[in-house]
Amino acid sequence: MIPVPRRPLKFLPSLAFVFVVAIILGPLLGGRLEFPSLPAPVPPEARQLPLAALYSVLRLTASYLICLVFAIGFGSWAAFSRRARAIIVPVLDILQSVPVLGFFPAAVLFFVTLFRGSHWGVEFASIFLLITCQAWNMAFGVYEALLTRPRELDELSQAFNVPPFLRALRIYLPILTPKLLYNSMISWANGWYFLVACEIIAIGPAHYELVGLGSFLSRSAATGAFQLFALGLLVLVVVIIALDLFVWRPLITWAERFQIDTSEQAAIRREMPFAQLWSGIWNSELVAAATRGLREVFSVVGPRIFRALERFWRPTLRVVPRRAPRRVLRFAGLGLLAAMAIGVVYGAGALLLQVIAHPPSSEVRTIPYVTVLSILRLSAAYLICLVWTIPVALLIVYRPRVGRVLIPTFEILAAIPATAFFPLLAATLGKSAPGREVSAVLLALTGMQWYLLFNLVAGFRAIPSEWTEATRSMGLSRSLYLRKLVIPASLSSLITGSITAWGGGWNSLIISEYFVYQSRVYSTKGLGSLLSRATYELGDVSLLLVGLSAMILTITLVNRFVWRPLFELSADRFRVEG
Amino acid sequence: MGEEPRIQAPLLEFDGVSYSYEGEGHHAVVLDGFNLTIQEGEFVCLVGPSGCGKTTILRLISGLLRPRAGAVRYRGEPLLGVNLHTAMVFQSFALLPWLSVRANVELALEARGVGRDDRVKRAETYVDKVGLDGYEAAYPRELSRGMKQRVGLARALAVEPELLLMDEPFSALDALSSANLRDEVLLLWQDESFPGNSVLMVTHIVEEAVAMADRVVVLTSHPARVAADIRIDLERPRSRRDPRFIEVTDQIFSLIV
Amino acid sequence: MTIHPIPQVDLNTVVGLVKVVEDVGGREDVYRLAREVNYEFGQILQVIKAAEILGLVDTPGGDVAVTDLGRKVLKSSILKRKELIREQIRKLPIFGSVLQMLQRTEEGRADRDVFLEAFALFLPEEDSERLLETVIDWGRYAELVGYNDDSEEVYLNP
Repeated sequence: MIPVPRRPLKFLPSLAFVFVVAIILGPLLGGRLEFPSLPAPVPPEARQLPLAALYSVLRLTASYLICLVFAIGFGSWAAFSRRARAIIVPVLDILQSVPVLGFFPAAVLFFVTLFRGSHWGVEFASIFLLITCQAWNMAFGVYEALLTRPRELDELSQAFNVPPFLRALRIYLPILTPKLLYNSMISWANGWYFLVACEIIAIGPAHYELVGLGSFLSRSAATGAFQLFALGLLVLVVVIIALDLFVWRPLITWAERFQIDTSEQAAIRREMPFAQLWSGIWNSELVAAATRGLREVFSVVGPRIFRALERFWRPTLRVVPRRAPRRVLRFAGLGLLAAMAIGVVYGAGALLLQVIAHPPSSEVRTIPYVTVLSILRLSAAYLICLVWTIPVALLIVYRPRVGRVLIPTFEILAAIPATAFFPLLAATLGKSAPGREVSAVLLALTGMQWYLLFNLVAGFRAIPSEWTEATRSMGLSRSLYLRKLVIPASLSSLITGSITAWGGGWNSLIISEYFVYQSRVYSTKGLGSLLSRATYELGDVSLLLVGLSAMILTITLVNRFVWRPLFELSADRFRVEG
Repeated sequence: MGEEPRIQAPLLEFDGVSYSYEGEGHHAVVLDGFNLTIQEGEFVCLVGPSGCGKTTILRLISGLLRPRAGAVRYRGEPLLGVNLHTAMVFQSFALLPWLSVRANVELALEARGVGRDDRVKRAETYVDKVGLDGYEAAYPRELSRGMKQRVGLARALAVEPELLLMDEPFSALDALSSANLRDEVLLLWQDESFPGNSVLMVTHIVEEAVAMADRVVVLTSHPARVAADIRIDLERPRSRRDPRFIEVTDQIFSLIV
Repeated sequence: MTIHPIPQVDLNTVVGLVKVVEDVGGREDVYRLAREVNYEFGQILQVIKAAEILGLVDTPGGDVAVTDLGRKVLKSSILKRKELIREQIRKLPIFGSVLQMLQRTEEGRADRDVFLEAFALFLPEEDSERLLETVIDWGRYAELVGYNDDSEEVYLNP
């Protein structure tokens, strides 16, 4: 599960490019902010819970399915085309750094306005926001999996002249499935984490709320209905655990067949709860009949589709030299790029106009200062993370029995959004200023720790066991062993984990530095709270935009000048050679 | 250097072929005016040190690469693309781990547009021929290396190529398994129902070449040139203790060194 | 139920051994053989043992000698070899037991765990997992049994 390092930003123009792409939809529609109003939401009641849970799951599912198409499409495009890669990877990198708030204006303006303030507009807006929480990670997963595919399979498909669609179906899809699945789980966790933000969309005077678990929790917390809040929390946890047991775990077991490096995986067979029940269902007559039916249909329809598509691609008897006719696709690709370029120019122009015409509030001057504060806060959270994740990761890897209990537990904990528990923290610590600082750091922690933990576990696991045995037999003391062997060898996954952890941390700032509980605002000075305030209190889009630019710029600079050199250093010096 | 009288047009011909690789900052000339012919029905072994261009030659034959100069001709016609009359057996087996033995073999047929029923039948036939009956539903991870290579063989044979290409097919196997498999490849080749009857095998083990081939072509490297083209007239099965075997082997060794 | 284990060796290797020994005249000293094919002594003993229980070689003194059956196998086609070896595999007691166990079940199939337990019980010194792998491998070659990796079931070959 060790992610391959993303190519960090290479040129600043792409920053403007992407940033604008994200906001682009709004300005494209006329650039004026109009917020159609919706009927006031109903106060929360317990009997709404089942429906609320259902709606949230449906929303997440809809978003996920769209993300699936996006991820496979753009991920594979970036993996196979050097030119596409040069644009897509930095773009995705930046999009990943934009917290969900950054997409509010686009979401509201595009969807809500388009649907003339109807309920569906808000639904689509919400799904759009969820997509921005899930898509980038999944796209990177597909990209990395395809990029690191074994080349002998390419040779095989060339030698046997396997047409592109057969290659995709039999080779590339299987290859990307395990990574995509893992990243999907992370994306879902991310979706739950930001569910509140995605179900209650507010900019300044506009306030839209959807029926769902996120809004339920938020409103019951806001009105102090503590029992309802606890009930909602319970339902949330039950739903997440149910999804884990009945959807993710079976899928992961199924996806094991696509693992290429079979050595480790065969040994680490997951203990699946309800295994008997599940295999009973899976191997039952009903499912077998259904699968047979599907296969029949596919074996009839499939070849026809393949044949038709093959004719379109014309690869059958000739190797198509690079220059030759795939013109249709080249034009389509160029056309897409041209459209994006036009959009960029138009959007950039509209944005500048926006900022000039409605200059941001004077708060804009505090941005450098609050950025530093946020960095300090994240650093504190990061250090605390290191302190607990490193020993625990070691424990998991070197005491497998403990690991077998801890890993599933942590996986479930990681899927349960800490954001749901924030109101509790607020109630207890939020009264005093230092208390608020502590809670902000703790909340940032929750957005960072799991990335770090799972990356470290993967990194420690990847240390070849021969090394361990060799050094043990040499009689190395434990601390020496740790210092000289384990830490250097796992450095690169430590750094990758840190990069993603910081990314999660930045994203969580908007929530950890600012939230509302019982009509009170708990906030600490920082970039996240500035962005939140700009969105929820002031409705100041210009401030939001400038703040977002600052955040993206900071993240990019930190990645470039801190993490990337560290990563290259670790990859060079301490590479684990197979 | 052996001279074969040309009774018929050659199956495959390299005519003054040149090929080079452009790397980052370096330029490697792999072939320069390379000539080679292969007749129908021949079992030819290319012997040479690693990295001398044997794999490039195979790729040129299968049409995956095009020569920078000169021509690669199959049955007199220059190759325009992937050579569908050839099929390859890989050194590292190249099996898809998530497909069963049967499905792996079927893939090659699927790629040629063979219909479902035909595919199933043909795959079964060739899986059977290589002695893997009973393993059709097994996955590569369950197989030993020798068995995996049999799957590779079945897959290549299933497309019924006129010319079978083998890229160091036994070098990933231990000595005993490869001894067995060499035998079996010869048995298959000599069987009348072997599709097509020409084989081009690349190896770096001289004894292997002498044990199997009608003709051993010795290559040098940088650029690859034919140092010797030796006809082996010994009857099969060939014994390593046969003095003539030893003589030919020594002769070839001296050419390499 | 008495079962004797089979060496955990692949059949390609076994037939390869017979071929190599036949190649040097039909009889060879074990040490020299090990050196020639670059095998560890312990490993080659396993292969020799497997060839022996299949009746393809004898082990007089410190040598390995190819039997008539072994020679016959080498002279046969790929499919004929399979037949000959299959007959030998059938005679092995462990396969008798495995087939018996399968025949006693309703559908002629049983979970791999059943066999792992049986092996652990009756052959505690063997590595049950690897032994089962070899049994399945040889069983497949002889077309006596099959194995489904998804459901982890061993089944009788109809």
